[in-house]
Amino acid sequence: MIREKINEPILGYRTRGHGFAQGRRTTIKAIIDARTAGRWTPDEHDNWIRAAQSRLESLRGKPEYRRNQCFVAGRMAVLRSSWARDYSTEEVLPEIHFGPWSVGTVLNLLGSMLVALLHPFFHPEWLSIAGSLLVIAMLFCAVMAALDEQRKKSSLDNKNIVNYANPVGEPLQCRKS
Amino acid sequence: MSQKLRTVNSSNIDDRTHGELLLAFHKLDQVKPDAKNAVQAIELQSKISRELTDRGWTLDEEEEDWFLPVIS
Repeated sequence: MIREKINEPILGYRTRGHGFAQGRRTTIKAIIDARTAGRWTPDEHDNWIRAAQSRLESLRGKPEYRRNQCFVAGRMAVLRSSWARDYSTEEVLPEIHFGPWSVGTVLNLLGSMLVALLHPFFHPEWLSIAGSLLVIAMLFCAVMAALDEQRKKSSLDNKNIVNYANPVGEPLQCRKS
Repeated sequence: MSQKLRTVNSSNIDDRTHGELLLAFHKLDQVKPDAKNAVQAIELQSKISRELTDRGWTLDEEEEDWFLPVIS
């Protein structure tokens, strides 16, 4: 799961160069490690942002500046995401908790099929109540699953990321991986 | 975001968080080689470097000397 999370592309940044991808992967790994150890806090988050900015400042005017911009862009993409702003220690990977809603939808669907199959053996009134409850539960789970999916998609999306790593507005030319 | 930056020095390195060490390390990059405290800056930087290495991070030269966690 951690590997999937690390390698999952950010929307709109699938084709960025090696530095961007490396900055992103390593930052996700570092946050996961810090969260697992209960050390991921708003202050620590802020230190990380300031450290990346400081590094970029000290490289300004040097040949490796542009190369590092790509790395910082990847790092900032993660640091500025809503995923990085989750300071809980229990939910190491928020996506893990998205699953049950989808599972719930499938279970409800199976329950409905079971009710339909067994209907000759039960009282129609009970079947009607059971069926209605299942439909309500199924709709609820489907809506929750859709909302979670939406949250998952947007959690690492940051369209303004280039601005953080590229304050002077020059186009980023990251090396292809 | 609240900011409680704690000073990093030779005697408290092992007590500081990754973020604090990283920030200090990169801030020390900005000390000019001819500055009065340049020698102390280099010494502190190498101590921070050793501490981060002890914590399982590597100084990735391919990535222009960024400290990175090891991804297995």
